[in-house]
Amino acid sequence: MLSHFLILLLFFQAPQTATARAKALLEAGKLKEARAALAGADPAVPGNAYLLGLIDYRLHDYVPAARMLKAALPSLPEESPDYRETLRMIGQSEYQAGHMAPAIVWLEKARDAGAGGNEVLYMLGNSYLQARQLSKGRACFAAIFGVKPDSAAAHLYTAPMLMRQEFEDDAIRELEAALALDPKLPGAHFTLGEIAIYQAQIDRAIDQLHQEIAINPNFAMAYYRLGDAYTRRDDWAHAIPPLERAVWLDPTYSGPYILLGKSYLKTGDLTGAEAMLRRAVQLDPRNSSAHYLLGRVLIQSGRTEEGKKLLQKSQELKEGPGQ
Amino acid sequence: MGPLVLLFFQVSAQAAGIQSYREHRYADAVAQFTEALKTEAPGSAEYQESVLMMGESLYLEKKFAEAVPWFQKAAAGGKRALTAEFMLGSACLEAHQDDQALQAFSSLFQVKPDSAAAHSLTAEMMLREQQLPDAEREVRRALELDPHLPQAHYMLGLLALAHGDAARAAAEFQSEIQINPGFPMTFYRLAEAQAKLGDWDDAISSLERAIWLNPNQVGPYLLLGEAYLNRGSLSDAEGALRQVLAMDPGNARARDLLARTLQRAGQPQPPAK
Repeated sequence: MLSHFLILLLFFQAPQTATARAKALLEAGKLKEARAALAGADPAVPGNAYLLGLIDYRLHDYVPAARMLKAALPSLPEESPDYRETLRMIGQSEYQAGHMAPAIVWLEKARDAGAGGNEVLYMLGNSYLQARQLSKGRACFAAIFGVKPDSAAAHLYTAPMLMRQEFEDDAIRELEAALALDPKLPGAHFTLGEIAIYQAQIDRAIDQLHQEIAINPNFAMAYYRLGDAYTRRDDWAHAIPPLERAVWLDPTYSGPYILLGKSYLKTGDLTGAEAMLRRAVQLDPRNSSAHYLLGRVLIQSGRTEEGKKLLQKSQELKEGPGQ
Repeated sequence: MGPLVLLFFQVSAQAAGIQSYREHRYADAVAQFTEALKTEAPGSAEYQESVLMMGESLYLEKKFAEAVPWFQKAAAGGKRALTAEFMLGSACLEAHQDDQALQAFSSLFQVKPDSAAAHSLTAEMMLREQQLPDAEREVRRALELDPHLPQAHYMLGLLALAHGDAARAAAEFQSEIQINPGFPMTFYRLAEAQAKLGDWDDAISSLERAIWLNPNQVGPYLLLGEAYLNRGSLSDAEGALRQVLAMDPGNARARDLLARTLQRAGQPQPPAK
C-alpha cells in the first residue's frame, strides 16, 4: 500500500521537481544541465515551454528557442515584463537564426511593446536592410543615434551597417545622399574612400580620402587609408608621407606601422622598416603580417636566424591556436 | 688628405656617431656627428643623415633649443625631410617655441599656418606631449577660426577628462557628436565621462553606439563589461569581457573583471594567464 502511495507521489511530483531543478540550474548558469533536467518534459505544460525556450536562447540554440518561446507566449499576461522580454527573445532568436522575415515581425512587436531599447532597434534596422527596406532601416539607426531619419547623419549611420552586409552600392548611395545634404559632413568621404579601396578603384579612393582630409585634418585613419590606397598600386613613395602622418597623429594603432614597414622595405630602407615593424609587433603581438614582414627584413639584413623564427611565428599566428 | 682617406674618415666618424646614438650615448654622438659634418659635402645624403641625427641626439639629450636649427636644416631637403619636420615641431614644443612648432606642423600636414587645421593639428601634438593649457589654447583658436572643425570639441573633451571634469567632458563630446556624428571614439569617450559621473545606463548606451559604428576596438567592450558588472548584469558583463579576451587575449584588466563577474555569478573562474 505504502509502495503504491510512493509511486503515485513520485508520479505527480516528478514534473514539478524537474522544473524546479532546471530553474535552479539555469539560475546557476549551468545551461546544459538545466536542458538535460527538462529532457522529456512536456512543452504543453504551462511554464515548461518558457523554461525550455529560455534555456535554448541562452545556449544560443535559436531555432528551438524561437519555437518554444512562441508556444509559451499565450500563457504570459500581455502587459507583463516577461511578455515583453519574450517578444524580444523571439525576435532576437529569429534574427540570430538568419530568419529575417519573422525577425522583422517579432522585433516590430518587441519595439512597439517598448522592449529591448536600442538593441532591438539595431537588430530590426539590420533586418530591414537585409530585406532591402532601406528607409525603415535608416529610421531605426536614426532612432538609435537620436537624429532625424531624413538627416545627413542618418544616412551616414546607415552606410557602415550596409557595408557590413556587403551592400556596398547601397552604402555609396547613402553616403552620397548624406553629402548632398551636408557637403562638409566628416566621415562620409572617408567611408566612400574605404569602399573604393575595397572595390580596387584606387584613383577614386585617393580622391575621396584627400577630400576627407581637407574637411577633417586631424583624422588619423584618413591618412592611413590614403597610404593604404597608394600601397595597393605599389606606389611606395606616395604611400610613405600619409602613413607617417597617420602614425604621428595616432601612435597607438598598428596598421600604419605595418604598411610603413612594408613601404620602407620596398624602398630599401631596412633600418626604418625594422623600427616600424618592431613597433607594430609590440602594439599587436598576434599580427601575422607584422611578424612575416619583420622576418623578411631581418633575413635581408643578414640576421637569418631571428628572421626565420619570426616567419615561423607568423605561420603559427596565421594558422591560429590549436592547429 | 687624399680623397680615399677623406672618404674613410667621413664614414668612420658618421658610423661612430650612429653607433653611439644606438647605444644611447648621445653626448658622444653629438661630438662624432660634429666631426663627420666637417668633412661631408653639404647636400650629400651622408650630410643630410648626419644633420638629422645630430638634431635627434641633441633632442634625446633634452637640448631642445639646440636641436631646433639642426632639424630646420634637415627639413629643408633630403630623404627624411618629413621626419625632420615632425622632429622640428616636437623640439619647438619642448623648447616652448610654439609659433615655430605651429609652422612646422602646418608644413608637415600641408595646411596654411593661419588655418584652423594648423591650430588643431598643433593642439593634437601638444596634447600628446601633455602640454594641456597650450593644447587648450590652440583648440580654442582653431574653433574661433572654424566653429565646425571636426575633432576640436573631442580634444576639449579629452582635456576636460584630463582635468577630472567629467561633466564638462560629456558636454564637449556631445558637441562633437553634433558636428562629427560618425566618429566612434567620441561615443567611447563620452561613455568614459558618463561612467565617471556614475551614469552607467547612459554609458552603456554610448558604448553600444561606439561598438555598432566600429566593432573592432577593444576599449568599448572592456568598459561595457565594467558597466554591466557595475549594474549587476552579470551574463552581459561576461559576454562583453569574453569578447575583449577573444580580441586581445593578454588583456589583464578584462581577465580581472571576468574573474570578478564569474565569482559574483557563482561560476568557476577562468584560468589565469
